[in-house]
Amino acid sequence: MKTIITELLGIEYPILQGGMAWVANASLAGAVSNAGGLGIIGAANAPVEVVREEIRKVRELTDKPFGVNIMLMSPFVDDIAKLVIDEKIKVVTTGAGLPSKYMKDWIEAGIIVIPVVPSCGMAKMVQRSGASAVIAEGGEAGGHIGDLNTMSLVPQVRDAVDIPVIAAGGIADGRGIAAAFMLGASAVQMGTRFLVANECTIHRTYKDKILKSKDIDTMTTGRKLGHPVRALKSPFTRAFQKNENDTAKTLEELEAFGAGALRKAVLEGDEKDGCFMAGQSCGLVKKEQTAAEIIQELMKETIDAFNGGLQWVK
Amino acid sequence: MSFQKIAELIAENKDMDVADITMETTFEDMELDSLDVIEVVMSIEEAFGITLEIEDSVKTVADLVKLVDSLVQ
Repeated sequence: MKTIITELLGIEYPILQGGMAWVANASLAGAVSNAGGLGIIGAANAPVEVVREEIRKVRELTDKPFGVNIMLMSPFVDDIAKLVIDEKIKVVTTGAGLPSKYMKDWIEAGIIVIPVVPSCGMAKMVQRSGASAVIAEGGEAGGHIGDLNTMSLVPQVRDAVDIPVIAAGGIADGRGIAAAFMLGASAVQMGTRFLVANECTIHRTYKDKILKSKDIDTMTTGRKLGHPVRALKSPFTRAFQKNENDTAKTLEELEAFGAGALRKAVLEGDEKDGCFMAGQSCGLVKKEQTAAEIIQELMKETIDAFNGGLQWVK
Repeated sequence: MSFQKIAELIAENKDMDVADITMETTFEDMELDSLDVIEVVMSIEEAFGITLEIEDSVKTVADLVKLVDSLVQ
């Protein structure tokens, strides 16, 4: 399937794998890129040596294009911003803020910059700074999220900018991909579906929780802190919510309570203190497959959905 | 007067009464979240023909006016 995004990125299918913190490592990114999508390493809060190591590992796994997601609130963001230039990374996606101050250097280095945006204003701003495309991510997504939902956000961003739009949030099958295209996207980014890819190295418990989850099993916490997070309901999210509602707790205490919870979920499968981030599409994720099987199935479903939709216009 | 113009732009963006905005008004008072700030910044940039880099230290209308004035001159 050719779209403006597959052409731009030099990939076979219009599917990007989200740069999920602690999850999106070389194993997963390499597998997705080999399968014809765009694998993305999540730099998250990791120090530069760790990210460099992952980049090198991906290069051993694949010679196809891949990207690095830079979390702009990372304490190491300046170093990571330089690392992607030194390592000649082809595609950089960004999250958690405006990447304006790094964009000139990245673009000069020939990097394709694709920021994740939660609003039209931010999409316009990054377009002006030279972004090649934007990822419009709705609040159905897992992890750190914005307010608007994918259904409303994608067409508004499509109208606000001239660069291509990639839809994210709530998409886990071909129906979602076809719908995203109808809203004006020319590719999608998916996270939750890839959590259960065979090449995804998260803890067994995390995968089992995703496979068992249903539509109503996620919740958001952290609105009070100004950066809401969607995750599977768990003892951790319930305790966090309780703390959030407790007016005696300071914002610092609340931040401290959440620190390290994702790592505990990903590495240790800690059912009590772990934060198992997931999108609302988790209920659609029913089986474990290789990244290649996932992408092939998604593409078949997408074409079926397009063809099925045509019945209504005859 | 850049204050008057900036106050008008904020008022228009947030559907506020321009009379409620003074130099001392903070972004927090006006309930501007980070996404609202982007909208306001974009309209100021357009109106004044400048490019603004908003740092965390910009918290009040006075801070914003100072920044805009430094770029306009």
